[in-house]
Amino acid sequence: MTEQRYRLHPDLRLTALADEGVLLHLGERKYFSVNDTGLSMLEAMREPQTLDELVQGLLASYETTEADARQSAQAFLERCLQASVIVPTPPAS
Amino acid sequence: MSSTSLDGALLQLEHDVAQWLLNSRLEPESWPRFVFREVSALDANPDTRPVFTQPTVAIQAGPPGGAVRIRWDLADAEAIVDEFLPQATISVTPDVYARTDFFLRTMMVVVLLFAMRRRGRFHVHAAALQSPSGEGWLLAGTSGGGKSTTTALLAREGWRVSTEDIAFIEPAAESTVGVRGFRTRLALRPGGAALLQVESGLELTDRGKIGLWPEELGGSWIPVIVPSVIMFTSVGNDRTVVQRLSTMDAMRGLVQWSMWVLFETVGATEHLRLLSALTAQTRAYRVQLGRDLFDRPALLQEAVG
Repeated sequence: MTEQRYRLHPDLRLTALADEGVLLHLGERKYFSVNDTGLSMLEAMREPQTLDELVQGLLASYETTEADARQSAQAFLERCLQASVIVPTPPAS
Repeated sequence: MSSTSLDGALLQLEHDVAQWLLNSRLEPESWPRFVFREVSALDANPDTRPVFTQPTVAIQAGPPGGAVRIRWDLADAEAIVDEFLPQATISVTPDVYARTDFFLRTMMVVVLLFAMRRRGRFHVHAAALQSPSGEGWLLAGTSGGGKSTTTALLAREGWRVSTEDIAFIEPAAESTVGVRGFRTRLALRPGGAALLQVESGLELTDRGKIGLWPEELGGSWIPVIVPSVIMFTSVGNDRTVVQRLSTMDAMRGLVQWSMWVLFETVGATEHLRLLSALTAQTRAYRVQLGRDLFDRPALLQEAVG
C-alpha cells in the first residue's frame, strides 16, 4: 500500500522570518507562526510529502532520534490538518 | 479616469476624485484607472463570498473569485476592482453627490487600497515620517491610538511627514522596503490639538477634528521613507512607556495593521514577503503615549536609541 502524502493548502502563504515561519491562510483569514522545525516541514510540503519523507528530512537537519522525529512530525501533521494548513493528496501511483 | 455619462454631477465627482489623488501626491503614473458610471439603484448583489464589514463598507474579496466587490452603505455605491489590473469600475447613485468628501474618505480610499495592490503597493494603516537625522519611523495602530497627535508633535520638531495613516509598502533600493505616503492633512482630535496648543487649522466638521498640513506645524512632506523603527501606539496616561517587541510580535502587529494581506490571493505572496522584510529591517516597539511627551518631544527618540 502507498503511504498518504500531504502538501500545503493552496490558500496558504508561507515565509521565513528570523528562523521561524509565518503563515497566512487566505481562505480562513488566519495568521500562524511556527518554529524552525515546523517551518522546515512546511517548506518541504510545498511538494507532496509522506510522513516517512518528513521524518527523513528532520533526521537530516536535526540531531534527534527516529522515534522522536516521527512523533514530532506526526503531531505536527495532525495540528496542521486540523488547522487546514495542509491537505492530504492522493498517494503517488 | 472616465465616466460613462455626460451628467454634470458625475463629471464633478470624477474631478473631485482626480483632485483627491493630486493632493495625495501619489505619482500620476501610479494612479489606478477608475471608471465611473451613474445608476439609479444598485443591482442585487450576486456575490456569494463572505462579506467583511467595516464601519462604512462591505467587502467581498478572495477565493474563489479574483475581483473585489466593495459596497458603500452610506449611500448606494459599488466598486468592482479588477482581478489583476489596477483599475475599478465604480457605480454610484445620485445620493453620493451630496457626500463627496465622505465618499472619498470612506469608500474611494478602500477602492484605492485594493487597486494599488495590483501595482505591487500594499497598504499599512500607519503614519510614516522621517527624523531630521534621516531615520524612518512607522507609527501603526488604531484610530484614536495617538498616531496623528504624535506625528503632529514630531512635525513641529522639524520631522518630515509622508502620511498620517495611508502608507504603502513597496520595494526600495538595496533590497530594503520603503513606505510611500498618501498625503492628507493631519487630523487632530480636540484633545490632541489642545495638548499641542494648536490654534489654527481647518475644521473637519463632520469628523470633529482639526486638519493641518505638516508644513503648518513647521514640518515638511516627504514622498517615501525607509523605516528603521516601527511603533505600535496606544494612548496611555501621564508617563510614556516603551517596550521592545520580538521579531515575531512585530510581524504579528504588522499583519494586523496590513490586514488586506489575509483577504485575497492577488499579491499575497509579495505582500507577505514585504512585511517580513520590513520586520527584519526595523526595531519594533509597543508604545503607550503619555502626556510627558508634550513636555519632552525627544523622549521617544531617546527611548528607542
